[in-house]
Amino acid sequence: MTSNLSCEALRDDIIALLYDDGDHAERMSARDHLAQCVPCRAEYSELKGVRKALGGWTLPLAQQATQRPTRGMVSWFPAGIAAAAGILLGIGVAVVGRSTFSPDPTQASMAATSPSSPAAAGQFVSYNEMQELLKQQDARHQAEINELRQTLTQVAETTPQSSGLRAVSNISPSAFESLLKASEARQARMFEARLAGLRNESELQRQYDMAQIAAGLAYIDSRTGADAARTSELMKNLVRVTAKPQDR
Amino acid sequence: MLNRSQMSDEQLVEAFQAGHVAAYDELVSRWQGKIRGAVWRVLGSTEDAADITQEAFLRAFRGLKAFKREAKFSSWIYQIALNLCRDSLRRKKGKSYVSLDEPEPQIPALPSLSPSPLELSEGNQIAERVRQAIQKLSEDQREVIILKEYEGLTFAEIAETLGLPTSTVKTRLYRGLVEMKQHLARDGVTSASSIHDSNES
Repeated sequence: MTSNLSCEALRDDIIALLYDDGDHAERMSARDHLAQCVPCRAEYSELKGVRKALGGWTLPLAQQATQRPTRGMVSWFPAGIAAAAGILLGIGVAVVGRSTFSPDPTQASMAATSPSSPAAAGQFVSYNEMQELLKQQDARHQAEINELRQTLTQVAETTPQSSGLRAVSNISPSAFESLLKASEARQARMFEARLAGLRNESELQRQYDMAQIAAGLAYIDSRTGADAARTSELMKNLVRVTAKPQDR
Repeated sequence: MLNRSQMSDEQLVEAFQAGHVAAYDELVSRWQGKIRGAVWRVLGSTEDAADITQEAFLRAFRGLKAFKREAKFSSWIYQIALNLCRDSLRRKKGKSYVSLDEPEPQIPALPSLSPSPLELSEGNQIAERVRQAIQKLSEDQREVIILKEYEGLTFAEIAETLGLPTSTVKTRLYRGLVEMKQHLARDGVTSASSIHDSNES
């Protein structure tokens, strides 16, 4: 028989055994103690039961979905920032239009992380390299803005005031059309991707809801069965109690 | 050169401190799910969990340059997230005057209404009762139980995260489990049968 004092002293060891963590010696001493102490053995079993119940609390589906590892720094940036960046990029591409810099809208961003750069190759970019790339990009943008300003000034000087709109519509119809088409295609791709994501999410949600309903119905079935059995039992008792003595 | 995903947390921290900012991306993708899960369990709200996880990683990003590599990155990020959880709970407590540490006042029971299908599933019921029982624990016990049971941290890692001796971690764990047993038994979750089952297993 073990005293309560030693039981108290061995609680840490019992916890170590319960979680299979900590020193081997602790777990061994807990094992020895449990072999001789009935109350501690009972409590140990109860704690195992609590651990089993704790295992029943799983993360909800939505939470599990967010637990999937995501790639890229963008993943933890607020979605609004990414959206704003996308809009700004789109406006930039449209404004630059057919200027001499880059007819391909992706070229400007590609230049910042050209395949030869370490960032594009999936390697680390040092802080200084990153600063350098940002400076280069900034300088390029500045040059583009200046050139665009110059073009606009020249057009304004050479065009009569009444036809000021012509400066803006300096883009040829075919180039304008191709820009529009590219933009539409981009929008359609984004829309499709979003739609596919929504379809997937709603299918998952539907499956989850169906499982919940099935579980609920099964529970109702079992409850209805139990209620019917109870009612039948009560009816039998009622019949027995109300029967005439000679019928019993 | 090692691929980022093959690097240990310590190596990634070292790379970040050497100026490779992208190393942080790997740390985020490696830990954000776990941290979000832990925060969700402590706070019980998906929205708050997302906000606090984001805030924790932003704080870590700002502080990682000065991070001393004596502690593990995981312990440190858990520590930041748990501190934010405590702040959030304190703010909520101040607003609503409802304590999560103490049992809610007993309201006279109304005749039970038919439960919705969602509530009917046995698994959901157990999960909900466990969640409620955990919310009734003190903050100290709740944190230790979540870190051990759901995050699978060792006693030493929990001790490092919470800045406590391992003996205190075990004591809190023991007391938390005993309290859980009482709450769950009251709700009929850890019935004699489930305990019996666990004996057999």
